[in-house]
Parts: sequence; C-alpha cells; structure tokens
Amino acid sequence: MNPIIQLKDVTFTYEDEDSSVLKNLSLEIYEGEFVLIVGPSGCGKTTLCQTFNGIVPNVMEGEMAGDIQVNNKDVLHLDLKDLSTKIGLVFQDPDAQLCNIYVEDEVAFAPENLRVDPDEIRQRISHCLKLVGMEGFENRKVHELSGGQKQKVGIASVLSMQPSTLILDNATANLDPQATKDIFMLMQVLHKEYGHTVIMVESKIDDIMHLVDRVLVMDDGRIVEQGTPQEVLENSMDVLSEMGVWVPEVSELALELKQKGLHFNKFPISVEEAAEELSGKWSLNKFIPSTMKKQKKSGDTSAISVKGLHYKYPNGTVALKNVNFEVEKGSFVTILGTNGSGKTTLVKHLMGIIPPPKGKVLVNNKDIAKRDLLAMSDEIAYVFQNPEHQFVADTVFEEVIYGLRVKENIDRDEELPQEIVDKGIDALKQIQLYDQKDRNPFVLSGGEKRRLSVMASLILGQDIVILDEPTTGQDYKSATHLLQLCKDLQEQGKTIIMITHDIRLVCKWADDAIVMHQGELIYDGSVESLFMEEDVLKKASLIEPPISKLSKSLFPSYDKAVITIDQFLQSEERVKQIL
Amino acid sequence: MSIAFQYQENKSFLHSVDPVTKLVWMACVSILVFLYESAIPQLMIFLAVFLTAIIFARLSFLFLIRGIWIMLLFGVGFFVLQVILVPGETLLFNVGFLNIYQESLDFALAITGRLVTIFTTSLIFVATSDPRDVVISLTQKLKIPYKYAYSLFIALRFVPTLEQEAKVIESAQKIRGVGKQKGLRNKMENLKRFTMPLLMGAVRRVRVTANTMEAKGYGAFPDRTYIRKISFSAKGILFGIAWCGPTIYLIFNRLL
Repeated sequence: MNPIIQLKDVTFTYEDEDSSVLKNLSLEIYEGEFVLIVGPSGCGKTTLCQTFNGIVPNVMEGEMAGDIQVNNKDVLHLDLKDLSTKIGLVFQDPDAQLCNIYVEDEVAFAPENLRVDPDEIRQRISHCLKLVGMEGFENRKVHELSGGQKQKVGIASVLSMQPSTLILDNATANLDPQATKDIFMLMQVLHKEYGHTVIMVESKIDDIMHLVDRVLVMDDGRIVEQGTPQEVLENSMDVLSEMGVWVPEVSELALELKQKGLHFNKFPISVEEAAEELSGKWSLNKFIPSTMKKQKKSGDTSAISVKGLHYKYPNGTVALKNVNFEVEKGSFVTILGTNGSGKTTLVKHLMGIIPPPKGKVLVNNKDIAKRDLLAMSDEIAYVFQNPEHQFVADTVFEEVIYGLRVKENIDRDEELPQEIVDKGIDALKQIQLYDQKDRNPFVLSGGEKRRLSVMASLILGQDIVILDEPTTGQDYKSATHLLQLCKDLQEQGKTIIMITHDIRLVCKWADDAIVMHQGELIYDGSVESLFMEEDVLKKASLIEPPISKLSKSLFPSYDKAVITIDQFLQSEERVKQIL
Repeated sequence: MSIAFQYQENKSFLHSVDPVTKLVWMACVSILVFLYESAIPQLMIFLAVFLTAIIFARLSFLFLIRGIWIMLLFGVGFFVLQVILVPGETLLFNVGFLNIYQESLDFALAITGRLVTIFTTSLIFVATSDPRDVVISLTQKLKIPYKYAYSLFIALRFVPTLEQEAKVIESAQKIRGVGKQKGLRNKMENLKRFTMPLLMGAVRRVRVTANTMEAKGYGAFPDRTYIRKISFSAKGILFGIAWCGPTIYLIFNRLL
C-alpha cells in the first residue's frame, strides 16, 4: 500500500530560532488510517501537522531539509492551493480559525477561494453541516456559538474542501468532556463511514486511544515509538509517563497489575477490554479504604458560604438559580459542570467580580456584598484561566511580588525591603522558578506560566484560592505539577476551589465536588459518592473516570465508587493467590 | 455610539437595496448638501434623509437620535462658533457684547446641517447594509480585488472576541491590584500592562488565522466564486433614479 503522507529525514528550524523543531523525522501515514500523535508539549507536534499541508515551510518560514510527499507529490515544491484540497487542518483555538461572521460563509470560504461552482458549494454546505451535526446553523453568527459548536463548524469548514485527510491539532483542548467526546465520535464516523484518513494530536487520550489504528509517540522533534495502541501502551508506557504524556487510566492500571504478575491475553486499553480481561480474575474485598482525605470539623470553620444566590444576566437569561452551599476551611473543592452551566458566573460572585446582593455570599463569615474587587483580593486569590491575562510585570521576580509592592505602595524604582525580597525568593523556589527570576513571564512555558500565576496571586497570603480551569491543554507532567502545588497549599491550611473538566485529576486530588447544571446546584458532596449518583452524572454530562466504570462493570452490586488506581488495587486482598 | 453604529438585522426596503445603490444614494445626498449654503434647503435635505431612515429603513426615531447625538453635540459647538466668527450685515440681536447677524446664523445653520446630514446618511448606510454584502458588492460590482475588500471584513469578525478578552484582562489585573497605585506614571504603566496580554493574544491568534486562511486557499487565485450574489433589483434602481434625477436637475439649476 502506498503511503498518503510520507516524510523522510525531515529537519526543520524556524526562522530566528537556533534549535530545530523537527529532527531527522521520518514517518508514513497510509490511506484510510486513523492515527493518534501524542507527545509532551513543545515536542513539535503542531509543526509536524503543519508540514503535511505545506504551511510549514511555505507560510511559517524556516530552514527545511528532507523530503515530504503528500499523495505522491512533493510538498516542498508545490503551491499551497494544490495541497489544501487534500488536507484539512483544524487547530486548537476555535476563535482564531474561524474568520467569517456567519456559519454558512465559514463553510463556504474555502471552496469559494478554490473557485468551486456556487451551486456545488451550496450542496457542500448543507452536507458538511449535516455531517458535523450543525444543520440549521447556517445563518448563526460564529462568535455566538459555544466552543464545541465552533470546533464543529471548524471541521465542517475544512470538510467542504473535500479533503481525503483530516488533521485535528489538539482541537478539543478547550472543550468540555461531552463536547470532546462528540468530536471523537464524529471523527470515528468520518473515518469509518466516509473513509477519511484521520490524524489527531491529543493530550487527553482516555476516550480516543481504543478508536485509533496506530499511535505515534513524539519527543523532542522525533518519532520515538510507534505501533498499535496495545503495542505502544504495553511496551512503552513508562517512556510515555516519563515524558509527561497522559496515558489511559485503564492501561496504567493494567501495567501495575502486569508488574504484580497478572497475565493478560490482550493488553487492555479500554474499559470494555479491561472488564473482559479481569472478570473472574478479580473479586471484591469489602474494605476499600475511602479516598475521603479529611475529617469534617464543626464550628465556625466556614471559608465560603453561599445562601440562596440568584443571578440574571443583563439580557435576562437566568444564570444562577437559588444556589446554596458551604465550603469549609482547608478543603479542596472542585466545581464541575458543562461549559455554560454557571460555574464561572458562580465563582465570579465569590470574588465580587459580579457583586452579590446583601447577605447572599459570606467569605470568612463576612458579608461581601459591599466590598469591591480590590478589597476582596486580600481574602481570595483568584487565578484566571489564561495566566497571561494576569501578568503585570516585566520579570518573573517582579511578577511574583507585585501584590506586595502595591500593598506597601512601593514605586518601581524604590528599593524593596529585604522582607519582600525574601518572600519573593521563597515563593519562586517553591515553584522551581527561582533560576528564571529575571526572564519575562511571557516567555515561560505553559506550565510555568500557570504556576507563576498561582504563586503571584497568592503572595498576599490569602487563605482561599480559586482556580479557573487551570489544567486546560496541559500535558500530564505540568498538570500534575500544578495539582501538587494546590495540594501543598491545602496542607498549609489554605482552601482550594477549582473549576475543571479534568475528572481524573479531580478523583485523584480533590475532596469535594459541587456540580452545576443550567444554573442550578445539583450535587454538593464528596467526589467519591458523586460517581454513585447516576442521574447527576447524566444531567451534567460528566464522564466517569475509566476506573470507576471498570469497577462498576466488575462489581455491579458494590455500593461505593472506586475512583483511583490505588483504591482499585486495594479492592482485592488476595491478588497473589489468584495469580 | 459604538452599539448604534453597526448593522441592524431587519427587513425593510432599504435593507433589501444593494449596497452599491446605497452608495450612489449617499453620493447624491453629499452632492446636494454641498450645493446649498443656506439653512432652509439644508433643513429640507436633512428631513428627506431622516424620513428615508424612518419610512424606508424602518429605523426608530430613538435609534437615530442615539446614533447621531454625539454628532449633534459636536454640531451645536460648531454652530455657536460659526455664528460668532462668520461676518454678516443684517443685525438680528445681540448677546452681551456679541452681535448676532442674520447671514452668519443662516450660514452656521447650513454648515452644521450639512455635517449632521452626511453623518446620518452614513449611519443609515451602515445600519441597513450587511457587512458581507458590502464586501461582496465591492468585489463583484466595483471590481475591487477581494483580498483588499476581505481584510476589512475579517477585522469586523474579531471585534467581539477582542472586546470579550479586554473585559477579562481588566478584571484579571484589577484582582492583582493594578489600579491601586495612583499617579500619571503608574497610569502609563497600567496601560502597558493591559495592552501586553491583549497584544500577545492577538498576535498569536492572527498567526493562526493567517495559517488557516492560507490553508483554505485564500488568495490562491486572483478571483473566487461566491455563494451570495449581489444583484440590482428593480426597486433599487427606482430608488436610485428617484434620488439621482432630482440631484442632477438641481445641479444644473444651481450651476447654470
């Protein structure tokens, strides 16, 4: 079989950069294949995808060596327009790649540029929108759509060129779990029923691994491993973990079991496969230790208390309906729910970004109704989703102490008291950024930026930290790094409130969960018991962690959820006897 | 003003007229206001434009006032200045030591009316023309290369996104304590703080946008096809004639 895409010894260095992004990279993609590319952030995945349709090096210029063939044509000596009909590339940021105001125009954009007959384009528009499940949206404005809808329009807008190959470069990074799953399902349909060759770059791979034919592992500009998902996971999972790449939770468990001596007929990479492999081999021990990581205290230990909070947007849409809950001091609470369920609106009230009415929100037992944002920042540290939005200084060190400078009203050229300097140094050491203290915050890596923004927000010594989707688009290594930092802060006695979609992280690190659905609070309790509430999970489109699904299918009668690998391993007391 | 000065989705006679004809209409109005230098004809032209807006574009009185009130304020200032500075002969009355002449009053009214009329006309044009139709008619009818016409259009697409982001940055930085330190120098610093993330985000986004557009064949050929076609309609032509006819007649009337 002829490869549809073939790279031979490709080395590429961007203009103005010293080290190359792609290093002697060779690969083949065959027609009709479904390929997943994984690798740590900054390993060159995006650059690789852009070589397939000639953006690199035709638009993004640099020094290129090697040979790239797409459909037996030499990309390096071809015009971009001859390639675009072959390859459809969808990017991570939905806002950046949609350049028209109306959905219809967006889908028509490419064929119009390629001088396709208008009648034909009309047909393609309705066909492509139907494929991605967006029929009827023709005359809607792009900027009014949700993130998931935008990405679907993005996919439709490349499908309308009728490419044989579709590439999604981290296209689900900004989406909630349900929207992500929808996109995965869509790609499966396009691959299976319409015969498209599909290449996906993904970081969250629990729900996609078992759908693909082949996995390519990339590190530092090279393909370091490749094979079927089974092969890659069974043989090189330690390599993946070390790189800081997410691996399916089920496979992580399987590897642990394998190391304990359990034999698999087929190394499991999905919940179904694991259930099949483990049924009969794994029985239940009644004494699964709970993940409840803290004891409930009574008395005036409330950090935040919300009573009967309602909120309507200026345009009349109800955003919050009678929300009541309490967050205890020193707890680690996560706020879950689909995009648009009211999570962000809720936490904006806690911080006074939206001023709450009298008596509705108490922080440290004080009504915050009359307090402004600046006053609130003494009590709560609020870390925004995009760390860059909060950067205010030219160096990492100035960034981390900025809050203190403002508080003590020390001007830019005045000398800092030793006490503040020490505090800054300590803070930077805690997040391993001390040796970067003179760099500009904007040039740090994604993970470093996040850690810096957490630390900088906390410099005033606030007791409560709110984080808005801090792990979005992060690889395993930096997400874990950040969560460890939160855990450390919790151990120092701080209260952590985190909005997130990352259910595996929630299970591993958080104690309690609040679930929002259409402006209503539908769950408030421990993370563990959340996964026994089927109707809550369904309503809020929460995707259960694979481990919990596995344990439910293995022990349907068990009345507690098993949500971490450690717990699962402890669910069997006689592992060795069975083996 | 920013809210009023954009396309208002609606169905009206003027909405259905193609942008090119509306440009012709704007040209007519502009010629007419420059033909006259006294108040009465200017007032009549303004009334004609205003009535066109209300009857043919179905824009509400309130919307129009909201759209042009800044211009009106400016107009009043301009008017007062003209009344004082333009020399005249027939003394009307005097305010303190200022003599107000009939000729200067007339001229000032005319000049101010001219400004307000032109402004109102462009407001009506923007409010009744879908930006994408404007772009398409620029390329289809006026034969402007689509690469230039489109750049304007794409800028429009990103205005709401940038607005949203600016709001987020503002509160994100306020929480960090930006704005607590007073003084001009701190204000300048804060401006830089605000612009940096906005700019960084925009630059990154523009690069992705450029890449996607290239990948979608933008600029690959000198021309392209369009799913929307702008055509001159009978009633549009009638509307154009209804304005062009009198305009031409009045030009000859004035100049000969």
